[in-house]
Amino acid sequence: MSGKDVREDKQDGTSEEGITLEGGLPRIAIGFIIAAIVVVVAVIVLSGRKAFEPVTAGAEAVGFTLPDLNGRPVSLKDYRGKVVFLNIWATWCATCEEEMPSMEALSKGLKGQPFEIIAVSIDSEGGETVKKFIGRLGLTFTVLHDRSGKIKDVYKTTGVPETFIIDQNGIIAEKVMGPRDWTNKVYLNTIMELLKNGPKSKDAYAAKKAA
Amino acid sequence: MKMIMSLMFFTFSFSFYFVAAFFYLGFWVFKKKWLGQCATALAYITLLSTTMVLVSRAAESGHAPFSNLYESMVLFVWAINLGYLVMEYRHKFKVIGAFVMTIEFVAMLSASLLPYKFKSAEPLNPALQSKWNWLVDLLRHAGLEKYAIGWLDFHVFTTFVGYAAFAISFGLSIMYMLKDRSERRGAQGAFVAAVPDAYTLDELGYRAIAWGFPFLSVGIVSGAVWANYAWGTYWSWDPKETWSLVTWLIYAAYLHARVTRGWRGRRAAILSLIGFIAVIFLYWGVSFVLPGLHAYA
Amino acid sequence: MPDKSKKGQAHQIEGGGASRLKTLGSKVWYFFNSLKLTLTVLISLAVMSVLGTVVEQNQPIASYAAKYGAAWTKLIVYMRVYDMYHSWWFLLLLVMLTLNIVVCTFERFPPKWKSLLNHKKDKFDPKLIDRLSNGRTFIVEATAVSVRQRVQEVFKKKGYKVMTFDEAGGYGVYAWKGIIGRFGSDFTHISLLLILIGSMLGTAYGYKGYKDLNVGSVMDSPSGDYKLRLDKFWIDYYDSGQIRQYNSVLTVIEDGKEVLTKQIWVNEPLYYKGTRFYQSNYGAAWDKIEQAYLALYRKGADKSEKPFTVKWGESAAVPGTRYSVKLTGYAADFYYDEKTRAMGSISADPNNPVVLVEVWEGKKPVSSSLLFQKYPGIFPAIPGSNYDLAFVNYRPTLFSGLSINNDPGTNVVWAGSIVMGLGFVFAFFVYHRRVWVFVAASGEGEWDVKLGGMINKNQLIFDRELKDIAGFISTGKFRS
Repeated sequence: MSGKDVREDKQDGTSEEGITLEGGLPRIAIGFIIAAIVVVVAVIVLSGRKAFEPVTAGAEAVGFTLPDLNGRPVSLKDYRGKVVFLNIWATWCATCEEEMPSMEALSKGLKGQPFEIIAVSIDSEGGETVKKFIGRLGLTFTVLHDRSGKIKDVYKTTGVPETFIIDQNGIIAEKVMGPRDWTNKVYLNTIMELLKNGPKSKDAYAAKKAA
Repeated sequence: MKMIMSLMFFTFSFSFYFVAAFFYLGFWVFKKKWLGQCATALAYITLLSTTMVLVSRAAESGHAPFSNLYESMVLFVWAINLGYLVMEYRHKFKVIGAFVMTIEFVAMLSASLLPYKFKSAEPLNPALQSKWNWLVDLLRHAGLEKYAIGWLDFHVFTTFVGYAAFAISFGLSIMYMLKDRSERRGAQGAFVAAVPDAYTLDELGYRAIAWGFPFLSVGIVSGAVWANYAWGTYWSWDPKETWSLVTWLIYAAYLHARVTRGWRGRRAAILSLIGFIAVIFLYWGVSFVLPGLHAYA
Repeated sequence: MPDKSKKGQAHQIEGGGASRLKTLGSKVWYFFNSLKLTLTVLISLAVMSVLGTVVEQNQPIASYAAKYGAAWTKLIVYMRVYDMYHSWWFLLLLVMLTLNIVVCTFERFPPKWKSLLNHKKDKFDPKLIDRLSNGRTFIVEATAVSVRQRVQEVFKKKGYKVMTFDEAGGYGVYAWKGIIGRFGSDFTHISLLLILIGSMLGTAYGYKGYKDLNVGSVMDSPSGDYKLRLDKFWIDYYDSGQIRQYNSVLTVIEDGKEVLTKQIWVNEPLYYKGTRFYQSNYGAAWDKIEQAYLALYRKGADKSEKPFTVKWGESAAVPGTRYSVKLTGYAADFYYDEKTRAMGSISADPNNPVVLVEVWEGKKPVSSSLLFQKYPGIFPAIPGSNYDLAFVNYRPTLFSGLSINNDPGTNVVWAGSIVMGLGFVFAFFVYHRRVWVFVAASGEGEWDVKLGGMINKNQLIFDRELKDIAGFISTGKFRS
């Protein structure tokens, strides 16, 4: 028992709340409008397709500018023409700490060559924490600090540490997830080849990864 | 370079929800029929696009797409979309779409702000791998046994259908509060007049919870069944389980309020609003704010 | 509600105490027969449950003192807030809810059952249709036979059961369906009682345990009438190195015979005689390792040589020397028991790993030494020689962590859940609908039709259905 009035019939869709609506269009017109919207959205979305591509061997390394431990801004493009070892790490990551002495050894070993290690910390804490860490381990390579952690989204990392070996043209030659002993010659093939023979094509890097 | 399809479809859905919200809002303001027709058509397109996110995600990860916060957000959005279209088809009230699509857009926005770690398909840790053996055997005939689901996926799916129904009821309750206030005042602004009357909103809100409550209950029970298989206890009062019970109790109170004199209408709507806030806390808050073991979705 | 107070007064002449008890009893009963109580209890349970998530449960008292201070901690302990869900007042809320359910069902179920059982005996009253708010009257132009046929057909198509009454001036039709929808709430309430009973059974008679088991070891079952042996334990990995699954193979031994062997992994337990054994965890053994990596140090060299492998229980030659070593002992967290004069491990954690090695020169034993991983060189491994050994690293032996559970109440809880599911289907998706139609002649080939109905919920779709029915009776078909 409802105690209320009978509801208006709305089955035919031409009235809502008793108000007759105007401005209806034939189905085909609606179809055109929707198609137009879909095309416009598709064009916009696909023009930014880089955002959907995995960041791995063969992809372009996205540029960034981040402050070093003295606050001075450093950009990736400053190192165009060199082989860049981009390492993403954090002070609270135990395996990063294990890996860094070997990175220092690598940096010293390749001194004088067009090779640069850039280690980006994603610590949300202040620069002091990072500075202390670097000082304690006696590291001399370039260290940048991304407090917002945005580099994780840009390089699509899912953990720390992750390393990207970037060639002289700014293309990622190899991506390494997890730590490595960088004094072990087996892991240095990509770097050595780039230094000896220069950069390869995008497809060559992708093919090597698939192999 | 090959694209990660689930990310692409996600961005499509995100954009379409934005446009759909605009059309529904426009329909509410300008009351032109073609705006409403376009809005509904777009709502179907968003459903298709969101379905593709889930399908491509399953293909990328090799398991059911319900295993982390990002995937469950997409499921949530999908279920709201589906539930809303069913309601719109049956009752033809398109103005409600304005609220629902806005909720959808906000949900997609939150999911998009998650760190990349959640957006990448990850392999499942041992506790999350639950498969029904009979289904594995059945799918083995087609070579699809790795897509078999189990109690965990069933639990996530039913719970999120419940959440989605509660989200729709939340939108309806907000509309109810606005409409009820202006109906009692006697004067209705142009926008509120376009909204269905309070009685109908109350009934529709009830219908939404009449779907949500059983699904949440099945979700809680299937979660208990899964916990029993994984850890040997079907209930351990951890914050996630407890908050799901809290949500259940609030909506149980809502249902009993509606048959209690004086508690129907406005007070029931308030319970529905509180219930959905509990759902939000249950879904997002528990993982980030409270200590406990239910750290993922 | 019968006037019990009057009864009490009549009895007062005979015995005042008995009647006061009766009025008290009826007051208590009436208290539990209230929906407002339901709302209060449900909301109180919700609020209290939230409290139990904000204040972390089952922590050492000291941690509460540290977090909330002495005064609050006193209150927390006194009111048992630290184990809230087993506190007396939480259980009291549950008891109140149970009584509420029982009393309400006792009060409301019998009259509902009686009236629904006898609904067919109700007199047909055409005036009832006028009183219904959704009642309507309309004129149908058709033959008597058609009208009668249409009425029968429309209800048949819509799945209603029908009764026809001959009345003065015409005939009445009473149609109904979905009576079971009225009992949905009763199913649900009973299911809650089942679930509460199930959980109480589990708390009272259930067993929950945990056991770390080494490969080859045998454990007793909690009931003591059979044993369980761990035959194998291993870990599967993904390509990325992440753990995919950990597995054990268990054998049940009863009366000396092997009864059952099963592989278990997380989410796939072993079930035997009411008890379930779950793969819950794993760890590294504290008294054994698979193999050790030792390094030789020559006196005078600036660093030790590359490590060589020694497998547990096997002999290995020390490269570049005449010596061989054998692993005879390991402890994860070294301590020395004065009484037994043996080494052991004070914990399972590798806080201070040590190996006991025997050094041999050909067939001659040379020494038996302790090598500490964290303190190399603290005790010379081969005293009187130019060599020393260091314990560099090791591959651990893994043990399986089993969760044991025996809960007699679980099946009751699952049964309750199924009843609850049924209850929801009846309560939310099956509606008890009743429609009354009165057909009276109003002229040549014209009939006055009155139609109206009642539904226990979801008025919106019922209005539409009545419209459909009226339309069918008018025109002979449903509106497209």
